[in-house]
Amino acid sequence: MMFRLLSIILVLVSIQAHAGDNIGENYIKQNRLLEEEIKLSRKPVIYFVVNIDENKIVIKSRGINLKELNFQDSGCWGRPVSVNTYQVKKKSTFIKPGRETITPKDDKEKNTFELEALELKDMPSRYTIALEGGATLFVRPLTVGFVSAIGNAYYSSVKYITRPLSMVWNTLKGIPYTAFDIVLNENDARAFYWSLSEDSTVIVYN
Amino acid sequence: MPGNNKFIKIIIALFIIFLAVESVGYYLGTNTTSPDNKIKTKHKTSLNALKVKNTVLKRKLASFNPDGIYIVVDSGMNRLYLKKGNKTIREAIVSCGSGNILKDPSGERQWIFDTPVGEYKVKSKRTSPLWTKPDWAFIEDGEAIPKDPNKRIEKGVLGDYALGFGNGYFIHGTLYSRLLGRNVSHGCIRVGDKDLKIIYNAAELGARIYIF
Repeated sequence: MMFRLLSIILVLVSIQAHAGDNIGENYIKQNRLLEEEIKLSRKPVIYFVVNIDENKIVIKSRGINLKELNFQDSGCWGRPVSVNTYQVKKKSTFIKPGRETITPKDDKEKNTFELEALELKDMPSRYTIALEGGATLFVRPLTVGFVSAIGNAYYSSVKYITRPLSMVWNTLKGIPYTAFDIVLNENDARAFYWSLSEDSTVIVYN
Repeated sequence: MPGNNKFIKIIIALFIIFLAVESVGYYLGTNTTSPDNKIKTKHKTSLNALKVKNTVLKRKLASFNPDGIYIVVDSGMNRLYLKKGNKTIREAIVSCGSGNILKDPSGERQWIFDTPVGEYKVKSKRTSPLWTKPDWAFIEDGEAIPKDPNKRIEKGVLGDYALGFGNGYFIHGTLYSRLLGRNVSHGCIRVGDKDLKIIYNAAELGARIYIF
C-alpha cells in the first residue's frame, strides 16, 4: 500500500516537473519571439512570423497582424531552429511567374484593351524558401483533385529518399539542416509566395 | 554467368549501403532536440520573472502600433482595409500594380509597374486632383514626351480624391471601376468612388499605410 502511494506521488511530481519544463520552454521561446519582433518593429518593414507551433504564418509590420495564413498541415525534419530572425536567401519554384513587357501602342491599338498582368493566380503554390542558417521551408498546396494528388504523392516519395541523404551529407559537412513542410490551401500558398520577396525577413517559431 | 553473379552482388552491396545511409539519415532527421532546450537549461530566471518580462515586452511591441486610423493594402488580393486598432472600419476592392515592364524605346530607361510594399504615410491629400502625366504614360501610348509641362496635365482620371504616399504613388479614384479587383494599375492604388470618399475623410495626413 505504502509502495503504491509512493509510486503515485513520484509519478505526479515528475509529471508536474515536466509540465513546468514545458511552460518554461514556452516562455523562453515567447520571450525570444517578442525580442526579435521588437527589433523588427523599430523599422518600417513587412516581416513574416512562421509559427510552426500554432500552425500559421502571420504577415506583420510594427507588431500589427496584417494577414494570417493557416496551415492545413505541417512537419519538421531535422533539428528545430532557434526562435530567431532569418533572411530569405532564395525563393525557388519549378516555373517562375514571368512579367509581361508592354509594347508601346500604335494608333490602331489605342482603342483596344487587353489585360496583361501578373496576378495572384499566376503565382505558384508549390515552392521552397531557403533561409540563411540552413533552414528551408517546403510549401505545397492541400491535395484537391487529381493533379495536386499526383504532385503531392511524387513530392512525398522523393522527400523520403532525398531528405535522409541530405541529412547525412550536411552532417558530414557540419552544416545544420532543417526542413519545414508547410501545407496551405492553394490561395494562401500563392499569397505567401506573392508577399515574400528574396530580401524578406522571417521569424521562425518552432 | 560468373560475371552476372558478380554484378548482382555489387548491386545488392550498393543497395545495402544505400539503405544503411538512409537509416542513419532518417535517425538523424527525426531524433533531434530544439536548440531552445539548451537555452532552457542555462536559464536561471524563474518562470514568474519570465512571465513578467514577456508582459512588458508585449506592451513594448504594442507601443509600435499606430494610434489612429491606418490603411492596410493586400496587393495580391486587391483589397484595402481601413482600420483602427484591430477593428476593420471599411473593406474596399481596389486595383494594384500590374507588375508589367515598360522599356523606353531608347533602351535607357525601364519601369516596373509594381505597387511598392512596406510602410508609408499619407503625405498629401487632394480633392479633384489633376494628373501630371509622367514620361512612361506617353511612352506607353506611343506618343512623344511634351516639352511644355502644361501638356502633361490631365483632368478627371484620378477621380474625386487622391492621397499621396510618396514617389508619385497615390490612392486615387478610377474611370475603370469594372477592373477593380484586378492588378491593372501602374503602381498606384485605384479605389471605387464611394470607398474613396470614406477613406479620404477618415485617413488624416500622417496616417500609416501598410502595403504587402
